Amino acid sequence: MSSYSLGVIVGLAVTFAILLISFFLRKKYHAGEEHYDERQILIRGKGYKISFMTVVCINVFYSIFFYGITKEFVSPQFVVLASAYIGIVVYTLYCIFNDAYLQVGQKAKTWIIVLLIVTISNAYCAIVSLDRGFNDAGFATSFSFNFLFAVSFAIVLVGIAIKYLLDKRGAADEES
Amino acid sequence: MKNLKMKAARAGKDLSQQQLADLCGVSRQTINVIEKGDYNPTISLCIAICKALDKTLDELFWE
Repeated sequence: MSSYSLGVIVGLAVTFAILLISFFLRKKYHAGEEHYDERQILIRGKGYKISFMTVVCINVFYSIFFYGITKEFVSPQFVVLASAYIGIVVYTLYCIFNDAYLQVGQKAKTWIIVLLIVTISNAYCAIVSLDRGFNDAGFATSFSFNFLFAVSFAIVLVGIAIKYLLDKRGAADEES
Repeated sequence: MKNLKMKAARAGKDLSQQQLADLCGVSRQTINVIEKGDYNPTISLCIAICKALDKTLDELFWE
């Protein structure tokens, strides 16, 4: 087994272990503290619907109009994943701009830090593997995945920043 | 249509939207859109708001 494969396996195992431990700790010590209220659940349901339709439309357009002309330099494997990610980004932005992204009592700062770390680490990996391009013998390259993750998380971060500015400007929203 | 009765009741108790939201277990934005008339709350949330503001459903939500 190459050192690269070993690194990937160990990285995934450590990540999974951290997620599992934090999940159980959170369930034990912070159960019921954070939740979505009824309006947020409605908004998120509508967001799911919109993102589902977005993914369907992208796949239809790609298969009918773009597969033939792009298959040489963009792997279909990448496009399938990208369409799913676009759906996730659409859903996330819809929730952000309708105040249904963060749960009641949740701190925005924590999520911003997590998103920043994910964006920067993926951007770094994409820059390092820049020479690999989007297609390697029909398969998506690691560069394409890192590029996709970095861009999508960066868009979410920009969305959060715009929403923050809008909320700040419209302090008229708040009351008496 | 704006729910001015709710806004007046909240102001009468000297509560901010955030404080009322905390009492009802919802987000501040949800209280804001209810006051602006952009969202119709469920009966359980209406009851929670009424309890927090010491008002009846008729007083706050009946036109």
